[in-house]
Amino acid sequence: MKHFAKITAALLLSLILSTPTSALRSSVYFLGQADQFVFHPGTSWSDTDLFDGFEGAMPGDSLTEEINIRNASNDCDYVKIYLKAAKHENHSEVQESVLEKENIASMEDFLSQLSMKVTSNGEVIYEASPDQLDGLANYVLLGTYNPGDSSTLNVTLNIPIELGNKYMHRVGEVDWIFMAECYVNEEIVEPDNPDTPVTPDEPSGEPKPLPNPNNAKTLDEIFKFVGIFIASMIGISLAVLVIRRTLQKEEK
Amino acid sequence: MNKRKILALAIIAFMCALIVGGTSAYFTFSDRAHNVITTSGIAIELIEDTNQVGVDGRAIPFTNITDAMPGDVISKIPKVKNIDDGDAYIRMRVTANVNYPDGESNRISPDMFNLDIDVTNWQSSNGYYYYNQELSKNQITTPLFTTVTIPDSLSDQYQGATFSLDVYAEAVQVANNGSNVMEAKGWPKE
Repeated sequence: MKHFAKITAALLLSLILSTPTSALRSSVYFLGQADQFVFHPGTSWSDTDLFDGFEGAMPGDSLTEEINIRNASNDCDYVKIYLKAAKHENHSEVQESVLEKENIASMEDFLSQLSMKVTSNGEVIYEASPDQLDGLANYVLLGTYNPGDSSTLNVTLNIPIELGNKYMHRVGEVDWIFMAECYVNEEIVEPDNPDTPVTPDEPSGEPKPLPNPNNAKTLDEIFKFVGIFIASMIGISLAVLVIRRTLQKEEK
Repeated sequence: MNKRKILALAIIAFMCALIVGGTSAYFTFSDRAHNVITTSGIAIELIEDTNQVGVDGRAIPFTNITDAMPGDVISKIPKVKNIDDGDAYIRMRVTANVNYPDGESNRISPDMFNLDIDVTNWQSSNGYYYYNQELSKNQITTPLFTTVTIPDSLSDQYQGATFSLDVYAEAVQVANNGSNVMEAKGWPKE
């Protein structure tokens, strides 16, 4: 029986190992407060390119890219990671290698011919032509990650079979902005350089104020923490008093 | 009495929970991924060689023949090379014309020149010859034919005439386009 189980396990393993997969895998690592985000694998077009499986597409192709999102930090108790897409407002936001072949208008015309779907944890968060922002116009929470936790974004790109010769050897850039909120209990994480003003969309990677005013860490929030602390102390004192009185009454 | 104790412990637990839950702090980091989508393409080159070899060891390209006589066998070897990344299906078409000295021109059948068509690798259908194999980057087809024979029985009406034997090549992608060349769609003239 034991022997049979071993054979079954071996067969299962060989089946799993031989299962073909057309999906490629890219990765986004959040490394913590110092190193922040790292993107793999990158391509000759961009070091931060997550779409290595979307090169050399042909009409009729349906391509899939799996993107692994991982909290590889050890200086955050946990992180929340968000994603949004960004429009190219000017040429400075586009990779030089791409601009050698396209301008923003021609790129968007090309991308408008395609269709792309992004799912996170089984939920469709984007379904449109890649020149559109669609469901990624604002930050979408991909998940809450303890150190070492990961999740997968599935991206499917469809190229219409009718795509004409005009779209041979074309290039389009789709920019995504990842944001991580690093949570540390009982300690306020200060930015390395708090005087440096940065905007949420800048690809600086520097620590920055929260982009959403509702989330912003303000003086109000600090007062809130102080208030909770004082209330806690008062509560504990009251509780101690009640217990002491109770014990005194019992002794009498 | 016990109720009071429980109440007191509950208050302490609640306050502790407030302390733990209420003092989380966070800061944010963001970065941009520049993701790139590209398309491939197909492109071909029509090669017309002869069976003559130049000093560099390469086949001499076909050039126009003058003063051909009835019965002459001319070396003309048309092939197609895939010069792009995408795999391609290939087809070729041959047309013939005669231009008379008085300026008149007529289309004639290429069969008149007794072309030695390679029927093993090229399949004839609807006026085209379809190459039976997929052609990858830098691959070259077998020649569609290798010789053109001027008919022995050429009548006097062709004296001083100029014949043109034109070869056209077309390609279409292999990807997502049928299981063989005869099933392929999207040829340039469709």
